[in-house]
Amino acid sequence: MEKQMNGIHPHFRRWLILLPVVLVMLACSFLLGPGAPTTPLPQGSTGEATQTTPLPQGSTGEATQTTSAGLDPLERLLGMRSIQFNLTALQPDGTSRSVQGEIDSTGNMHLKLHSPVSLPPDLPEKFSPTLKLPEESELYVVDGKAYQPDDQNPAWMTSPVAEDYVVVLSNLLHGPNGPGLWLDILPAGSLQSAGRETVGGFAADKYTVNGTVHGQKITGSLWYESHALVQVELHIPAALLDPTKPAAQGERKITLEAQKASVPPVILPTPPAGTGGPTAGPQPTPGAANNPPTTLSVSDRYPLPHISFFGNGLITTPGKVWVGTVNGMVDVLDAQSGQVLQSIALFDGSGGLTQQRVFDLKFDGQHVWALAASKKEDKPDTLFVIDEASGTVLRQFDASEWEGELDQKLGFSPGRIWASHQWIDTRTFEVQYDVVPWGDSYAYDGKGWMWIAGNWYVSDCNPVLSVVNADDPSQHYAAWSTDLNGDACAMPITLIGDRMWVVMSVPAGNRTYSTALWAYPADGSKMTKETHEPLVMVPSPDDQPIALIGDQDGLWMLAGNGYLYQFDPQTGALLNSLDLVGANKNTFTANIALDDHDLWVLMAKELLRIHLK
Amino acid sequence: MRSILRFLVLGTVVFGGLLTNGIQPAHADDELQAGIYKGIINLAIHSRAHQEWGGGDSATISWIGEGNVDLTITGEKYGTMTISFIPVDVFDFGYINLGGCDASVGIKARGSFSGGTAGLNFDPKQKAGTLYLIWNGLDSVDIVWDTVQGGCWSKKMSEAQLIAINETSPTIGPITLTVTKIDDEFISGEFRLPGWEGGGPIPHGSYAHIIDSCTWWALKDSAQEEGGKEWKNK
Repeated sequence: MEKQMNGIHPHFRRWLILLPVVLVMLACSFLLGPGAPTTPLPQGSTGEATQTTPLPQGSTGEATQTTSAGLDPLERLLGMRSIQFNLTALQPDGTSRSVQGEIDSTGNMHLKLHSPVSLPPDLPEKFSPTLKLPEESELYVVDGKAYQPDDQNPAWMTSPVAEDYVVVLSNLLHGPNGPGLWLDILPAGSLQSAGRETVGGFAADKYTVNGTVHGQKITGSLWYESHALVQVELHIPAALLDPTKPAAQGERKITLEAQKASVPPVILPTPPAGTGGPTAGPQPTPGAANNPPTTLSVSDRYPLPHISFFGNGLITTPGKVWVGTVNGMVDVLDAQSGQVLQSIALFDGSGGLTQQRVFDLKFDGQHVWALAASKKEDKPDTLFVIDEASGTVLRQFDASEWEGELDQKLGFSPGRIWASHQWIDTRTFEVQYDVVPWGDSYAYDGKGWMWIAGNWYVSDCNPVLSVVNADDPSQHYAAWSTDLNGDACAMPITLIGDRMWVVMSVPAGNRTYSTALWAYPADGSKMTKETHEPLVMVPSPDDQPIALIGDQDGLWMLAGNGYLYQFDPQTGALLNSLDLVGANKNTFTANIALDDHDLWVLMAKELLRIHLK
Repeated sequence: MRSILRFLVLGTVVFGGLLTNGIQPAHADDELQAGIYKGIINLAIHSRAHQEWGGGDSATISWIGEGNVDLTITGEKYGTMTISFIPVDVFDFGYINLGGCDASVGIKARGSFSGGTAGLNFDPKQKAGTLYLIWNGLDSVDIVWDTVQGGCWSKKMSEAQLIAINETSPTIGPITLTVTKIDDEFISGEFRLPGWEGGGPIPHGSYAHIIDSCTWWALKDSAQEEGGKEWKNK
């Protein structure tokens, strides 16, 4: 059972896979460029057909006349206002994919997309054939950004799923399931005027299509109004769709039908209370009066000589900040100036591009303890003792047989370091093996009890919380006996005053879970009974937090989404949030630590100071 | 003798081509001629991930898409190929048995690849070139779950599915494109992604990417005699 009790933070799992790429990218300051030679469609461009002159989003001044010069007839269609359109591609096998859309008077769109789902021929054994995947989806495009309703995420309207969806839509119209590509390859003389017709409320010029491409006839009709393609019908022989099947029968029928319409304004619904998401910024909450929120901001940024990653160790000692990295280095910075004082190599070859992850750092008042890996990237194998004053490595322990994986941290209680099942005496360095229950995260309550949080994993994370007598580990108790599972795998835990705060996944009905912050009275002796009611249970704004620390200023959570959250340490009310990553895809949040004056945030290649006092 | 052999080979190719009702490689020995070509590209690949977490967790994910391809041949040894956009549907139907629990988990996602080209990378004489496809991200991910017993069900993607997507999606490249048939104005070919094949270490398991053959074709722009511009000028 103990062997199974290994939880790994989902962020770590995902990012570990990408870690070599990130290392190279960051080391070389190289980012993959989009490389897509697409032509962005000007936002707010006005289709000539409707003769409208919409105001750009957010404009309050005079009307701005935009131009459609340089746009082709399909782009002009997307630039129209107050229309409905339907693009359908009926495939030779009878399936179809389609986009139904409406564009309001400001250019915002509401789209319904349909794409078929076909079962693959090699379904897994025991697979339930009743499983059906959805074929319909819906998007709101506001200011060019696409938002998708999600019944699992009530705050879906706060996070776009695509940044510039008009370009995506334009690409669809110009791709093989739209008319653009096929019209592009027609030979000269394929279009013949066929008079005028009124279609969809447009007085349109009609053209017939009849062209031969590689021996195959493409036929159909086009309708234009004011140089915009408002209707299309094209028949593409199946033999053109795949060069390996020149004898294929049937056709792809592409239809595009636009019509003038009174389209109600396309707006995003208001996020439910309390789910405003990270973009909502500081959210003062009732109950937070003892700690009135202040605006959080980064005071200083210090470049780091080595790269760090999710959860790498970060601690402060008097006047210093200690940074764990992904390549076996521990960088020590002056807390006053941010200058790098020392870089300590833990292993031979540390400092290069070989992964040697520093999982955690802990200070016992004299030594800095570092848990690190040199053999496998996802499992610590060596525990180091470093003299805090000189930075000299005093000794090391082989931890390769110790339980623990990506989320493994160290604990400290007076006179002891806790690592996996082991106790290490901080004075004699004697190790007592297999004496304590396993866990990832530790917090000492100051009353003789160590609190240990962890997970055992099946398909979700199944959190466990134990309290252990810090002088007699044979006395240990589970904090609850009910089954709990969910997403919060990392289970960070921290002590603030008289409260022990822990991240928890709790049932939210309909077989779903939500992530919450629970606070218990910080006295392990009160946790020896079978049932334990938390003092406080509040929802967490992030379901996979990286770190949780606290002081009298607040309970601080570093989220995997790049946000720092500040909560009231008594009530758990959200006081503040700060986006530390923003649009910068070249960095991420790794860990946080506190000293007497500042909150320190470890990023991929820099250390941030948030001045608190 | 050499010319006779060449004639025989060419004759075989031409005759074989005539037997088909589509692409006829009348000039299969020729190098590609300078010009601008436009066409489509079909992508159908699989990515696979497997994990052991006290039970099996595996995913075989299909990526199916169709996009535009633009090829420019500028000289004897020079050409560029650009794939501007491939919208992709991503499917997986997986059975998961984690520690004795049962699951049938499906995912459906939609995203797109963009193609990049770093200079002159298509050799008309070799009739081959390389380029990268870059994943633009999932527009949407729809996840459903079905019957799962034993209390370890999950309404979300399995770890193996996440790994398969994360491993697969960031960059597909380099892909190697080859021309397999040439007509006067029409060429067709295929591409593969050799860099992906095989396996590699992931936490608690292994993965492999198995790749289907992917196809493309392109039509020489000059065959249109300005036809491709007609619809834009109305």
